[in-house]
Amino acid sequence: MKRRTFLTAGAAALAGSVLPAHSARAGKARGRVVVVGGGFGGATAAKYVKLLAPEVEVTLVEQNREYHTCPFSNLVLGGELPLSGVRHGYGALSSRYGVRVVHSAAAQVGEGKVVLADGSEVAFDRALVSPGIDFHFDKMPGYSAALAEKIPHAWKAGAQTALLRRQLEAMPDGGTAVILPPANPFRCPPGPYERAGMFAHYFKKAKPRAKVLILDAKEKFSKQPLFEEGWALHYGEMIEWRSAEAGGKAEALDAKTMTVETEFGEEKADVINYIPPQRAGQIAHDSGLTEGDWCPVNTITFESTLRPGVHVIGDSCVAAKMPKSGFSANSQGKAAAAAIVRALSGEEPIAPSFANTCYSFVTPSHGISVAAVYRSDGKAIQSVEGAGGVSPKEAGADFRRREADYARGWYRAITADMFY
Amino acid sequence: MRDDKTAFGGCGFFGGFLRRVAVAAAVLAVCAPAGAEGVGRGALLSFSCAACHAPAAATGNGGIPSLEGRGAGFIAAALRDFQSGASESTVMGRIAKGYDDDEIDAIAAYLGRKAQ
Repeated sequence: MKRRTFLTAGAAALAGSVLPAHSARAGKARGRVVVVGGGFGGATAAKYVKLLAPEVEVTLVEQNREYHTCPFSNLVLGGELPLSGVRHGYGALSSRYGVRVVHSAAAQVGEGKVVLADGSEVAFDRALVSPGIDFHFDKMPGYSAALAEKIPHAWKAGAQTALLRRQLEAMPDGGTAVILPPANPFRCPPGPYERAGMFAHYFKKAKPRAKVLILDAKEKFSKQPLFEEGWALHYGEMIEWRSAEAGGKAEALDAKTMTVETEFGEEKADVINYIPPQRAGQIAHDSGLTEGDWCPVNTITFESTLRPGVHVIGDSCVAAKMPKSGFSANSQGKAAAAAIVRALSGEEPIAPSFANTCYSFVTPSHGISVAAVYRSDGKAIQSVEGAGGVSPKEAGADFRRREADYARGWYRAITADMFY
Repeated sequence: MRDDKTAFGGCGFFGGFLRRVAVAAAVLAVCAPAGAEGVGRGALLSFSCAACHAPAAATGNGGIPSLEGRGAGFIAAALRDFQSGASESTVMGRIAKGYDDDEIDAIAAYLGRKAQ
């Protein structure tokens, strides 16, 4: 077969040019790995298992044929990117790396097999589950899963992103868009605040009398001083943030009257972006991988502490102090891939190192970042002291522009690392 | 309304990117792991780099430089200069401070292996 020829030729080229002589050794890892979920964690892990151990059979189970990244979806909301700009496919994972991609919903991770929605089964020696988040739709009076069609969360990118963008476009000048970020922990801690800036970026051009009101369930948020500095610089009074204590905590929504009820009174809105509290993806709950909302794991191998042989990575797992971010999931995907390959080779795990750099846009040419390097101490993942931190305050326009450029470079690199 | 383009397959934001990545993948990026022998300490430390440093053919203008073709000496010196502040940076100084001397050498050896 053509694919086979390509892979063999690729492996030969690799061995000729890349392997250091002193440690060159053919991989002895054999077995079947099933990855459930093709996002930042799962796509990365599937690819890296194949790269590290080409003889291992890797099946990726992902229900969607195309994937929309949450990172950069705020640029879609701001009118800076079409939705196709955050869309990716699974073709290269299959044709270039030899991952078997099965487009089906997975129902459950059973003993030694993943059960698909149609009842068929895929057997594994090791499973890796990266299902992302699902929502608690029942925590806010007046809200429900069905109302996400009127009050979008847009916290999984795709149709929800397109819906929220259409609502912003239809909003009258002088209208108010309310963002309701959840309490910690949640996917992408700086995301709601980047989103506020992208709303304002669009409003400034298209409806300059509009307002962005953030009613927060928290007292503080990620990169707060940098966001507030940037908002004041570019948007003046257009963005208002209210902490939970200052009347930000929403107590109910009324979708009919488009009203948010808070302790301090009612806020009338034209667009409401309620981001519900979150939990591990449903399949993790259905497969005995959760304690409460999330999945406890060994922080060196990401093997579930509840189900031996099943690894959980990404937003679903408990990996604090790493944030629930695409970068974290990518970093964990590689660590888990290495741990799985070593386990299949009968080798002891090596403690990995993790990194996370989260870029956010204040405007399309004003970027800010937070970075950290992480290690596991065997129990929890700790950030390395003296490293990491946020971009400096008052850094000047050139620094902000470079970080915006680097954000775009990061997006290309990480999506190439996952999908291409 | 929807179209069926993907980010890199279409003619939009990253037009032409996919084709260039395909070429890069054929020769494999410096940050990509090197086969089963690569599952060692240097590889595990270096995997994070690929999340920002793309294969040369996939980097864009004004973006983050590729590490492809860079030797171990170059990478070790660059990391130490970022760490000390001798090289000005936006984020690399913050990241380089997360690694000790041994780890920098391991990262440099792994990433620089292709250039040896």
